[in-house]
Amino acid sequence: MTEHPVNGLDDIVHQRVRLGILTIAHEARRVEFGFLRTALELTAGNLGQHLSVLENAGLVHIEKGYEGKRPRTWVNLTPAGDKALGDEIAHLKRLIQQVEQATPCPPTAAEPTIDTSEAAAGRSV
Amino acid sequence: MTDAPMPPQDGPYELLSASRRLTRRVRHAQRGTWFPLLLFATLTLASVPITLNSRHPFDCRVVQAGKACVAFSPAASVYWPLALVLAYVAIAAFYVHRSYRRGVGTRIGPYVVTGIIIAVVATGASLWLVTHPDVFGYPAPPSPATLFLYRLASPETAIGLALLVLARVERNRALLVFGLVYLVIVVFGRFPPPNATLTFLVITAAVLLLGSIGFALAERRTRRPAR
Repeated sequence: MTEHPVNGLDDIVHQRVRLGILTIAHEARRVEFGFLRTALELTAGNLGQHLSVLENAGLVHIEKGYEGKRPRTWVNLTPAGDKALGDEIAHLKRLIQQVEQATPCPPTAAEPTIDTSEAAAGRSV
Repeated sequence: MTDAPMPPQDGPYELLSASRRLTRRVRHAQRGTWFPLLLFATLTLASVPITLNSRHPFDCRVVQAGKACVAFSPAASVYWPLALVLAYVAIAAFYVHRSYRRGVGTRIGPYVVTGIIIAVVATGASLWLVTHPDVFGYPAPPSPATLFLYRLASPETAIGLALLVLARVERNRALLVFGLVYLVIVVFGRFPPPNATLTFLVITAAVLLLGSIGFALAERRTRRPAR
């Protein structure tokens, strides 16, 4: 019997903001703190906390520097972060597949249909 | 694991939706399609006087109807490789600068490298075609297949092929369609003499310029609601 996809979810990655950070870092290769804050609509403190969790888990690498006199913080995805993102996306897709198989009725407005072929969710084209 | 219910925003549908939305946002922030198109339109227009004024007959032979010559423009064969390499350096600089300004990395490297390789190969192929006209039945008039080969080795085709790579790098379907349309015009477009070369260059430059304006407007429109 195969393991239920819920059991494979990583508590660190299975969270809206942290998954968002990993998705953006994967797509951008390198992303600045300000872009993350705007895209995820977070305060600097809140974003900083999530980044610390990801950095401590070895999923992102944070570089601090200056551009002129302005401090800049860049976030890079580590290979472990890339793998964690891929695993999370795969688990989410399997979870959706199992839910759809269990409930034959079409998704409601609150459950938008996801185009799982779109590499977006972490896997680039 | 706790018995607390999963927050609705952390459900699988919502998480995948949010991921997809963020991916699109990053892709839009990374795009700068208008710049290469504008640059190539300018280079194509600038090549008009060079191509037309420096063209001279080469390897002329007597035929039944009089004389047949291969037309060759030495200045254009120097201008294009140089201009294309410099253009790709400028494009790389533009994307890197934007990447710093917008706070998202860029994946422009493969486009710039492929663009330079295609430009060098096209220049080599073009020079080989001019210096080996006998292979294609010269001094008989060129067949459609020969004309196709000449167009394929042209700098305009080199620009179009590299645009397809840019479409892939930017994951930009609109640019893919634009690149294909541009390539069809460049490779298969036939323009009536006596001003066939001038018409060809002006039309290709105009297509690139219109594309640049269109992509600039589209990028502006997609960036506005994000602010």
